[in-house]
Parts: sequence; structure tokens; C-alpha cells
Amino acid sequence: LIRRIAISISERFPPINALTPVYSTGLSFLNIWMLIHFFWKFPGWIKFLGVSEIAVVLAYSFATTLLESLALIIGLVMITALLPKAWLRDMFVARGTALVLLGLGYVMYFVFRFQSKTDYPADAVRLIPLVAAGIGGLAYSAGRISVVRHALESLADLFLVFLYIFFPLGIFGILIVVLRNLW
Amino acid sequence: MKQISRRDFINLALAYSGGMLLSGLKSRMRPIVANIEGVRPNIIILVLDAMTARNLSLYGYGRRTTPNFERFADRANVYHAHYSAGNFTSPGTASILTGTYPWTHRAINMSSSVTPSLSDRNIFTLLGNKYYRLAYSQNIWTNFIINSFADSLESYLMPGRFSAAEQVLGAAFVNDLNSAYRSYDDFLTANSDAPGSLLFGTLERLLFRRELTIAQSDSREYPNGLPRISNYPILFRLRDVFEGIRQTIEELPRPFFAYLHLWAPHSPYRPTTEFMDLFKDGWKPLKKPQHPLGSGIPQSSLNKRRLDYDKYIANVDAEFGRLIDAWDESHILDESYVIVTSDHGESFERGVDTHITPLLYETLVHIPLIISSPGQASRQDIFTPTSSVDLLPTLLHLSGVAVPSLCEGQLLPNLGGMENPQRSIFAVEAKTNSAFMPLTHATIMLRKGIYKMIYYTGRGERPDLFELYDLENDPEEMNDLYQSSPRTDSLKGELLSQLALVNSR
Repeated sequence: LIRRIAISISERFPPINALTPVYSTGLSFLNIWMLIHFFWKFPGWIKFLGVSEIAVVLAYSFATTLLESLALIIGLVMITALLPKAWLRDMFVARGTALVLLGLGYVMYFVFRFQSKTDYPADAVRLIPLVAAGIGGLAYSAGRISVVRHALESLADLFLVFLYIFFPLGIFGILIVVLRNLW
Repeated sequence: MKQISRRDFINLALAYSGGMLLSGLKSRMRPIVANIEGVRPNIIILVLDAMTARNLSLYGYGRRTTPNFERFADRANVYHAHYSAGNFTSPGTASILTGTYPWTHRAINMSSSVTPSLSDRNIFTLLGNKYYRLAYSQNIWTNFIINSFADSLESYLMPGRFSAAEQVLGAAFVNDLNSAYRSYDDFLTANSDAPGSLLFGTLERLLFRRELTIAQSDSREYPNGLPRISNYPILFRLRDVFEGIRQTIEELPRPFFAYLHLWAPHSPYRPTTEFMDLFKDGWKPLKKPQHPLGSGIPQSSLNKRRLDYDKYIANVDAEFGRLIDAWDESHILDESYVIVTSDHGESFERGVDTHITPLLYETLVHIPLIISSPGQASRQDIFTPTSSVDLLPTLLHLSGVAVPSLCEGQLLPNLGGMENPQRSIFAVEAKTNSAFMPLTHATIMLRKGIYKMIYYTGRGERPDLFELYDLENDPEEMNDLYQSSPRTDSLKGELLSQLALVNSR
């Protein structure tokens, strides 16, 4: 019985070979966003921070982005497990990639509306359920249109290369942060 | 019942009056007795951020903003021409803590820290472990400086202490505060820019919004919202902060040295309801011309902002009054040097709002300095110019510690130093200049005697510019004497040689 339950649960999760490209897409997106903003701040920092101090900020940033990407993929896997297989698991690369890109795209829009911590874009917050449903619908449709599905799968494959860059950098960042905070 | 004889009555009366006399003497002589017994007086530095001397009635302002500061001044040394060494937090605070000018400590950029060579030459390290040393700053830019000296502190309170709502993530990394503040609070979950962390940064904003809503649920107390720290998610009630530091100080082991840096009256100016209706007096400040390096803000807007600032100062003053009364009652004032000052001023003139500006007019660098010595009972006024770099040598002198040669300040008059009207005092603004390079994009102020020279260099396409004012006859700096004064050449020569000297290091 336990074996059957385990098999049943594992069958609800996407296979690892489908998970990796979707994870790479999220990891790359989050790191590219972080690096754009990092280099936007960089000219101000080099006026008064040494190279090693800036490198430490980068280490914290890679570490945080790695954790952020893991949180994102865990969330997506949980949703996949909860939904019927045909909705998301069966074409996980295409639908997962679409969900990641559209979801993070909306968060970007949301952040631009949310100018500071004391502002609050109440209208954008109210629209979240509607937007989430829209994104879900688009992601589902993407899996059904073969041209779009192939495009998304190719894109996710392209992002795989960044996994070999950003993942080790994230691990290295975590090590730096831990070491600096031990003493 | 036993009858009291005439002899007994005389003995009792003598004993009673002798006791009264002795108890009176004891309270007045407590610090002296303490010194004889080898017990050092405590030292408290209270920095009120962005408090210009020009808007305090203690220094002759047209609105009665500071009745409680005036009351405190009745038992203190009041310095009437005290200057900060910079016009914003980083250079102003670093000069207080290191006794050096910005060209030496190099905290010249926004949120920068001091040069590593000063990590063991600052007020905390130099006073040593003879004192229990505590630091608390609500202003995180000050914390960037103090973090470099944290090894010399027995107690270091985080900026969100005594707050109504706060979400400063960097404070969780106590062994690596500067990098953590810089990474999280200035970048990954930045408050005023887009966060570098897309998901966590956004989530953090949503969570803070919830905390904010709860903290501000009662709008009657603060009609304009709770006071908050610009750029960082900290909201507070003035009374809680003053009450927090009162209690903290009273519980510290003696002798102690406490550096307390409060955000108020820095913008946003948010007084309580009680102070909202003050100063409906129609009083208007002298209208001054727009400065080419100013921000071009119309005078009518600046007058409104000034009114808000004045109300907020009155609010700070009231809380300060409560604090001083409590410390009087608990004998803290009898046992301590209490120093009240600011890190820089604030401006509502020449098109400049607040203090993010290359200008160094009096509103921006003339700050209060009030020092109450242990048990001091009368007021002393000192009119010769002094500087924030003087605090460190003076406190070291009072504590019996040798002043290091690197220190650029002098002993304050009445506290070990002599009045020197011809002394040269400087202030520097160089936030766009690299901290690692000579000062070529900067504004330098030289105050000497009654004169004040301001030098602007490296300001884009503009040629270098000098201004000269006679502060005795023109305290509002309206008449530029640069072209006409016989003192121009000597002051210009001194200022430029000083700049060349510091740039050649």
C-alpha cells in the first residue's frame, strides 16, 4: 500500500528531465533581473566601496536569487501535484515555462507599480486572482498549440546553459554568506 | 512623654540645618565627589538628525520652537557658532565619531563608511573599556559608520529598536552588518528602487504593507502618518523612542558612554496632533534668491515645508523636555556630560528643500551644540566658532585619554579649550566625488573670524565659483563680498592651500 501511495504521489510530480529546463528558465530570469539592477547600482557603489565589498554584495545576491529560484520551482511543483495531470504535468516543459515567464513578467509589472514600501497598488493587488487565472489559461493553451509549445520548449532548453553558471554561483554565494556570518 | 529641653532643641535644630546644608552641598558637589573618588562621569551624546540651529528659538529663531532646549540650556554650555563638517549624515556623523574632517575620514558619499584606518581611531575605541559603551542609531547611514567600530561596543542596539513597525533585514546578520544592509536593505529588498530580488523583494513589500496598516490604524495621534525613516522600512512614535532611550540609559552600568542618534526632526516631518496647529502666525522668513546649484523649488512651497519642519521640531522639543526632566529626577544629569547636537542642518531657501544639495549655507551646516556638565547649574554662552570635529578631542580630554595626533579638532572652550576667534573651520560636500580620489567635485566652506568663504569646484560645466560673507553684519548671507572684500585673497589662499594639502596625501 505504501509503495502504491509513493508511486501515486511521485506520478503527480513532473519528471526531473522536464523540471530542469523550467527551473533553469526561472533561475535565469531571476538572476538576469538581479544583475540588471546590480549594474544599475554599480557606478554609485564604486565611488566608495572596494572591489571586495562589491563582490560580497554580489555573493549575497547570488545566494538570495538561488533560494528564490528554489522557492519558485517548489511552488510550481506543488501546484503541478495538486492539479489534474492533463492540466500541467503532461506538458510540463512548455506549460511550466509559460507559467514562469508570464508569472514573473506580471511580478515585474507589479513591482513597477509598487514604487516604495509605503505605496500600495491596491488595484493591482485586487487583480491578482484574475491575472493568475489569465496566466493559467494562457499557459494551458500554450501546451495545446504545437508551434508555441515547441518555441517554449526550445527556449527552456536554451536557458539550460545558464543553469551551469548561476547555480554554482548561488552555491558559492551561500558559502560566502555563511562563512562571513560565522565569525 | 519626655519634654524637649532648650539644649535638646538647639542641638536638634543645628543637626537638622547641618544635614540640610550637607545634603544641598552633596547634590551640587556630586560630580566633584565622584571625580575625587575616581568614578568617571558618564557621557551621553544625543544627535538629532537634520536639526539646523537656524530654526531653533534657542538660537534666536523667529518662532518659539524650542522652549525645552532653552530650559536645558540654563544649566549648560551653549555654543552659538557650531558647525557640522558636512551637509548630510555620512560626513557629519563620521566627523563627530572620528574627530576628523571628511577629507580624512572619507565618508563623503551617501551611505558610505569611514576609511579602514580609522576603525581603531574613533570615539568608542579611544575611550576604551573604562566605559560601558553603547550605540544606537535609527539612521542606517550612521550604522554603516558605527558598524566599523562595533568591536569596541558593549551594547549595540539595532535601528529598528523602539519602532512601531520595522522590516530591516540586514539587522539579522549581526556579524556582517554592513554587507547585509547594503545587500538586502539597499539592494535586494530596497525600499525606494525596484528590488534586486524580484520575488522576495515583492513579497517583503506586501508583508511590510500589512505591518504598516496595523501600525497606522489609529490616525488621530499622527494625522500625517507615523514618522518614518526615509529609504528604510522603519516607522516609529517619537514618544516611544524617547522613552526607550530614557529607560535604556537609566539601566546602563556606570560609567557609560552612549551615542544616541535619533532620526527626528529629519523629513518626513510628522508631528502629533498636539503640534499641528502651531505657528499660525503669518511669520515669513527672509526671501533669498534662487541659487544656480539649488533645486529650483519655489519659495512658497519651501515656506510650507518650513512650517511643517518647525512644528516637528516643537514636537521633538517637547519629548526632549520630558527626557531631560526624567534624567534630572534620576540624577543622570548630575552624573553625566549630556551633549545635544546634530549631524547637519536643513534648508528651506534658495530653491533647496531639506539637505540633498551641494550648498553649504548656514542653514545646512550651522547646528546646535549644548553640553551640560555633571551637576552644572548655570548657563555659559560661547560665541566663537567650533566644529563637530572638536567633540572627540574634548571628550577624550575630559576622560583623561590622550588625543591622537590624527585628530583635526580642538578642545571646546569651557571644557578644557580656549576661545580662538581666528581659528579656521571647514565643512565639505563631495557626495559625487570618489572616496578614493582627490576632492575635485566638491564644495568647501572655510569659516574664519566673522568671515565665511564657500568654494564650488567641479560642478559640471560651471566654472569654479567663490562666495564670501561677513556673518557678523550679514548673518543671512545675502551680500556676496567676494569681489570687494580686502580679506578675499588671504581666505582664498588659505582655502585653496588646505585643499591642495589634503589632495596631495
